[in-house]
Amino acid sequence: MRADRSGVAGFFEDLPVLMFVLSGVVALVLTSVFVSERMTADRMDEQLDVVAKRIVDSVASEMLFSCGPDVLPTVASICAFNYSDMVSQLSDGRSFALSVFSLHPSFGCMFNISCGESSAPQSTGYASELLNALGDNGLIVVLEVRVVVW
Amino acid sequence: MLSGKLRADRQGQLATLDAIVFFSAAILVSSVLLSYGLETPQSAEIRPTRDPANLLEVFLRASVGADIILDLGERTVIRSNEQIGECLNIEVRGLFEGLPVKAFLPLNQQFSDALERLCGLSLQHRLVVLDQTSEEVLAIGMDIDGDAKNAFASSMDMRDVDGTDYLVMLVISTCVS
Repeated sequence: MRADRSGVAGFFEDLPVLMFVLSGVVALVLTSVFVSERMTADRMDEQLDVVAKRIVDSVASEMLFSCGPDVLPTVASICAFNYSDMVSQLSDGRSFALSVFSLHPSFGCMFNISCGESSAPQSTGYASELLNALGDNGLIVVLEVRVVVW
Repeated sequence: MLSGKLRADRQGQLATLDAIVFFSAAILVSSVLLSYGLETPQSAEIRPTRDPANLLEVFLRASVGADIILDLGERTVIRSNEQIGECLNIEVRGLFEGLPVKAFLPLNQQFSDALERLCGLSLQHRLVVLDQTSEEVLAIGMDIDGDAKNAFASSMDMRDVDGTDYLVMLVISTCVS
């Protein structure tokens, strides 16, 4: 065994160099991981928004034609239809929640359908559309169809 | 150095300098990447939660929702089941004939309340009626800067009860400054 003093000195002299290099590499790696994960999440949100919009468009047109073409749908005919199967097909197996609210002249939830995992989603897509319908009291009400996909 | 003697190790200093330059470059690249990554994506730019065209269409087709009594020289009753578009036709005709906007105040308040319900808390609204010379005849709701990035509009050609054309425009704005 022999004491390599210059070796030990060299090691300690190189420590600041090592620290700067490692810090730089770690900063680069962490930033790259963060940015790539964020971009992936944004892309996923965009895809889910497209799916939600597709579902809302289909559900709204189904509602509008529930009493026939060129006839204002009634709230009763809208609520009577079963949308679960239709939305399940359009959502491509993804979890979804469909809600229909009355916004005018009074606010209230007409119905709510949901399907899928109840755990906190990583990404969500959202779309909504307004439509008119004939209420029970003869008033033309405004309904809002809201869809969340995850 | 461990022997207690000071010596000028220029090569060591150069290596440290190189490392600092590398570290600075890495931080610079990281900053550029972060600014790019944190930039709002195109699709997530400020956009309204309502489509203004859809909103205007359903608004005009909806019923007023409450009986309203107007004093237009003679007592006029607007029934709750009358459509907002039809009531707007009556009002615009009255304004063209020189009636004051004040006479339609309860009706305009009902329009504003209906729009508020449709827009929700996150959107401000302004309904503007323009005549054929683009003169403002009626304005309901808050002032919205037309050049604002977060303002969105939709318009519809209408015809009043006497067949005069006018334009109704709805401007909505997200409450983000």
